Amino acid sequence: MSTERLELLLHRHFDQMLSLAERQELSTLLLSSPKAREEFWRMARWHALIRQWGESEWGRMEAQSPILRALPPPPRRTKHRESEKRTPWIPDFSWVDVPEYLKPGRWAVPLAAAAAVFMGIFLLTRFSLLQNPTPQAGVNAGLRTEIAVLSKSCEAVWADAGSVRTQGQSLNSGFIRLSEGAVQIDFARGARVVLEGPSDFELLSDNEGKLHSGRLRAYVPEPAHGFLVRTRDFNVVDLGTEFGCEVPRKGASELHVFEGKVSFELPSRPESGRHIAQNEALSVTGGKAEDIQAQPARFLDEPQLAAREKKSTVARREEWRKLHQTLSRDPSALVYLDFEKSNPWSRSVSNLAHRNLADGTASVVGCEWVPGRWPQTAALELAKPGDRIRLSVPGLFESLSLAAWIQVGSGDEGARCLVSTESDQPGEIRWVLQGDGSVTFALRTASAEDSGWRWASSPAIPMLRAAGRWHLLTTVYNGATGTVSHFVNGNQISRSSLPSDSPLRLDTFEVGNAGLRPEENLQVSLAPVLAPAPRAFGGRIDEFLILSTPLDPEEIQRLFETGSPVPPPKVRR
Amino acid sequence: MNPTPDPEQTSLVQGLFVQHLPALRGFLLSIVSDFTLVDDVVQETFLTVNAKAAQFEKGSNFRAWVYTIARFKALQALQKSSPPAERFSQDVLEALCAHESSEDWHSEAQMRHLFDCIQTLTPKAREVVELRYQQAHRPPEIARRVGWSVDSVHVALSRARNLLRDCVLQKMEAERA
Repeated sequence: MSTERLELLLHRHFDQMLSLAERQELSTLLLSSPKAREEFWRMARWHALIRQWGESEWGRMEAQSPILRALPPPPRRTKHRESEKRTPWIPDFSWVDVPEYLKPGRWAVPLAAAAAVFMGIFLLTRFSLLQNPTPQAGVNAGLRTEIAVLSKSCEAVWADAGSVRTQGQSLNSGFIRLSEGAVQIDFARGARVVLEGPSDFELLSDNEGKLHSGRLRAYVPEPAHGFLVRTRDFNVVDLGTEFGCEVPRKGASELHVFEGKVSFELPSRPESGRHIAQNEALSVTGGKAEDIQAQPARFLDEPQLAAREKKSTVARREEWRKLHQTLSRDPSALVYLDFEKSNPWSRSVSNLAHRNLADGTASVVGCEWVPGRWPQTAALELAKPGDRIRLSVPGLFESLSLAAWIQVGSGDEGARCLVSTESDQPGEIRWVLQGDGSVTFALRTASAEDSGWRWASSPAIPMLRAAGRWHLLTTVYNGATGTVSHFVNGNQISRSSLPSDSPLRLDTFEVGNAGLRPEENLQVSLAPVLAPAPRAFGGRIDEFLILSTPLDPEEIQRLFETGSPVPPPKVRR
Repeated sequence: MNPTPDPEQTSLVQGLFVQHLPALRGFLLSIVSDFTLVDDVVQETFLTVNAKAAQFEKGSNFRAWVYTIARFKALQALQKSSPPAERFSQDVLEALCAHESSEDWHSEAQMRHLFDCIQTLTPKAREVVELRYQQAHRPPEIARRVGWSVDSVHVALSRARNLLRDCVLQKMEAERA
């Protein structure tokens, strides 16, 4: 095997261009020849070095882009560049929508900052279900400035893992590759596009996109006039309209105008420009346009997408209700509050748990009823210092699993009590969301030292403090192994040893506040766990569950996937 | 005494992770060609390292520990999301990893020289390098954007990599002299 051939194969590997036969050829070489392996790593180092240069040079293209010149520069770029000089090997994550408290400068130690930023990214990508599973947008990112939002998503199946977008996610320029289902994209200037899978659509600016293949329907309000859709066969500029485009992988592309009019031209022939009016349509191939009949029914419209989305959400909500019926009947369920079926003036919530050992209700003190995370469901908001939910569960327990769907309110960033017992006995517990976004589980041992409190915290998860987003927090204390595991949105984020010399007890306890006890006892007993003074939760709780057995990670993942109103992203197999 | 080692141990492990991150990313970029997938694998690795922080013994070889996790995560990610033509099999990965030296991946000087060397590329070659390494496009997409064939893009990228390597090495040599 010649060196040239090996080099060629390696270059093709780094460019993701190997055919299956070439991959096998390269694999054989790498397995049989130490020299080939040496050459692999030699070239790999240069490949990685150039990628690192590429990652740290993001701003350059943005500055050169005429499309983006008019937009304000991405925030934090300059600031990050300064820190980059100090720590040049820390990857550039500055384009991510990092919360205020994660910005450089708020962190004294560069490594801690990098770890925190990394954690932030990690959460933005991994834990979000929620909002931003692939902010890197990697392969097809293009220029990384937000130019649109994915406002609706219905049964979307994405072409590959790198293409996944979730509802509510901000979009940069780059490709939207949808295999099935439908999504709505709201451009920053106001144009809205309903895209049906399979489609390959490229966002080019805040008022321009290219449909490489697939089908879209565009709505263009007044401020977005001039919205441009390019296809391989024609360009269409809106003049106050609603129109549809269809580009099959092979064959003629079509343009249908449903309202108003558009300006149409063939890509390389500006002289071909003409207006197409309402209820007119064209079929275009090989530079020739033919009139055809407009067919609005072929293109999914906004109300249809909204109806499909609603149907899908209702189906998911029913799945969630089934799961929670199962959970409430679980023999190990001690507390299950779903906050449903409550009148706005109701001051109590039924404990639906099978082993409802006390008087069957949780007392609601203060608090406001607010919409829950699902349509037509309710949650409780604890905003004032005196807001609390009080319960009583007698008994001693070897293990406990605590789960709550929470949405943190805006305001200060102090430590917030999620659960606080008040017996002052060995075995009592605290479950706390700390100011930095870490989660702490504390238990009181019989030891005289530090009032007997021992605790285990997760790493800081700043996203948890971001207001307005629902998260599922789960903490499992396994008495058999003496360990505490913290989970956020179904993902395990830590597991720590925390042996206890006493069985756990709840007795009378509070959800969302620090328990009622003499002030001096409160300060002393909580000092190691909560500093400064403990506070009411300061946010919304939609669901709350305590089990007397340790939930396993698969069960917690299921709890999250079924309980999340945003379905987990699907990728084509 | 607090019986839980977590806060200190966790911050020790996180600190070490960040220290090793550049080399780890380089390592993963070598075996996982897809830039986006690399980010996923780094995140997965971080998750596992974090979850297993308590198992790491202070003073032991962090690099070996974290690379074992990363290799496993890379293999998992590749099996899950990459077609066979885009991934190495487990035995190839193991052979490669066994051969990977622990020397530092890059120096600050190399990166500094690389910045200068990029300027020496022809405008078109530079555009192709930027599309690949800044914007993470694959050669077919780059070909579409610059109006070349995919093979021409591949040739341009291969040449650029060689040119950049020679240029940086030359500058390093000159600096040493």
